Amino acid sequence: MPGAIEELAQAIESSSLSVALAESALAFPLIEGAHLLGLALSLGLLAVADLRLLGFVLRKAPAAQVLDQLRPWIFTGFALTFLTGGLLFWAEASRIIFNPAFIAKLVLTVLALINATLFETRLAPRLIEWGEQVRLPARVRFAAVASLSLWGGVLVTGRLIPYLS
Amino acid sequence: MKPVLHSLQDSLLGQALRGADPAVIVGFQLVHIVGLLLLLTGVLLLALRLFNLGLRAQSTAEVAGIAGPLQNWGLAAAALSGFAMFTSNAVVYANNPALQLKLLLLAGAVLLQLTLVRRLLKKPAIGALPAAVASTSLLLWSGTALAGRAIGFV
Repeated sequence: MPGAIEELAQAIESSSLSVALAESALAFPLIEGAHLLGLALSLGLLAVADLRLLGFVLRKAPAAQVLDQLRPWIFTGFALTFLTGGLLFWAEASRIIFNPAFIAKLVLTVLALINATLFETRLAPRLIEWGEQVRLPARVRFAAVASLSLWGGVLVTGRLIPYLS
Repeated sequence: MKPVLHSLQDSLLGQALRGADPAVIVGFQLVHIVGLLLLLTGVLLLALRLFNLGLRAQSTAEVAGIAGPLQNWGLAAAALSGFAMFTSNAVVYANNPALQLKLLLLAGAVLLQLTLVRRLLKKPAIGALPAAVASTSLLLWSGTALAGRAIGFV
């Protein structure tokens, strides 16, 4: 299995896109910069949404209203983050595929996405019922804490990638 | 300038960081990036509101009530950790063109924040001014982050 993964990573890294990214002096830092700006949009605004679910900010506004206003921007941010993250991976696939920080980041990302999907399908549609309540039900607050900690973990493990390779 | 840089990197802080365990440096990097993200989130929130693109149901003052602390705490964390990392190798860093550009953009962003942005929040204006100020602020802060990202590459 590790052999197959390694072969796949090698194949990705010898693809023309990967070679072009690795050979350009400008592309890599620019994509890293765009990844960082995408993070402010995605994780930054998501943290604001989570803090509303926990009743720390924008207490006067109904949670459903705050989330509905932020959602398109958070999704735009995630599109930018995932696209640039994919490109960064593509440029050095075989060098980071077995990097422990990268593996931890992937696992945390999957968990955070599961949490987000469960929240969006099961809890978000019911936010309207809870109207202007500052203190939302425990399962909503749990989802918000899980979101903040899992995405926080993604951020930290992501920053650790270059130090553990 | 040079004596100042030398005394910075020979200071206790500079020496301690130069000889520090890599984990300590990673710690400073993490504080730096978390601070930067808090700061950028504050700038984004305010820009969305001033552009009428997001949080329209809230007043500008309400949005500024969240954006302000995010910007202040974020900038404090990023600036302090950044200054500490700078002292570890001040002479070399001071000659790094990406860092020079970053400090220039940072000065511009802070200046805009203390003048036009602050005035706009006190006395809301109509017309194109809020959007123009918000986009300039967003560009300056993003440029600061991008130039910072480039420090290790030039």
